[in-house]
Amino acid sequence: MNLNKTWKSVIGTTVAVYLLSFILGVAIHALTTGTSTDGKVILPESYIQQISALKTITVEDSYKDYTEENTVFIDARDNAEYNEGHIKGAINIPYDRFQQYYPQYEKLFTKNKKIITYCHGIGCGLSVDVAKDLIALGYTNVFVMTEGWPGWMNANLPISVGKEP
Amino acid sequence: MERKCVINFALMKPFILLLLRVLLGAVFILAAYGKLLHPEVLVSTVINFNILPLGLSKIFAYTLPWIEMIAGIMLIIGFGTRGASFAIAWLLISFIIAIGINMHRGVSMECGCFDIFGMNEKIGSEILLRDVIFFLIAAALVLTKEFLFSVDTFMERKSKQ
Repeated sequence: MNLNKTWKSVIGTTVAVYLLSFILGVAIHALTTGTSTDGKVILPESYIQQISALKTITVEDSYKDYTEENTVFIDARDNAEYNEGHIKGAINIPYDRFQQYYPQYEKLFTKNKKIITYCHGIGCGLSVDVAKDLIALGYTNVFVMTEGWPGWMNANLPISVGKEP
Repeated sequence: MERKCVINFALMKPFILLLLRVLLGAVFILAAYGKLLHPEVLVSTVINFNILPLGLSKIFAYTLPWIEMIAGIMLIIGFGTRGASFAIAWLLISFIIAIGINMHRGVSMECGCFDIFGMNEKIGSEILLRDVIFFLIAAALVLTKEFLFSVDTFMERKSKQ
């Protein structure tokens, strides 16, 4: 009985901490959204250093290129994540298997084509790795879509599930 | 005559627990502080973990730093200590599962654990081991009945008088 009472109080305290945190978190998010950072995203230093050495592109501009059909989109995530959903028409080159995947897509990367890499979104370095590998091979028209898959998905732009035909 | 120097662990136990309690509290307050400074980074980190649906990921990201902050302060002052430790233990289980799944997937990603002092760790076995150690400390505190220098003990003694 006594033990029961103690555990009830332990669990009660835990639930109270979770509930209070939830209310605080959601309330503060609601109050600060759009005022504190003006939509600016603050990122870890190492990511900023890497990304500032590369060309980046927004989801909106990527979509303009997408409609002009002169761009190759590269999904830098792993196979399973790519199969769960990706930008329609994007090819999959997992960041850690670049050497293995690159040869089969090489013919797609003609000189006038733009290459856009993406992964899990802001803060994700996988697309940065693939972009660097391509630049090392001499490609110059390479961009990183920093908002990545979540950004594309949230904008309700064309997606596809499973392998591309 | 030979005199042995024996360390009496039974006597030291409350002090060790006090040290662990304050240490765990401080770690979580620091972790919360970094996350509260960069809320947008936290949202994208949680989404990157790719465990929860998008909406739930955002709610988890808004709630997480406050759980860490409140439970951390409660541990340091020793108020509702066992409940706060229980809250932290469950949080650590969720971290361990999330990191474990992404290590299994072979994904290289930011851990987002401490976004301060320019710390920028990637998930890996060291982080997993660290979380398991923190979990064991939290579990030990959940099972502790009395805490040195704590509001809990002070209030209990006062109610008995």
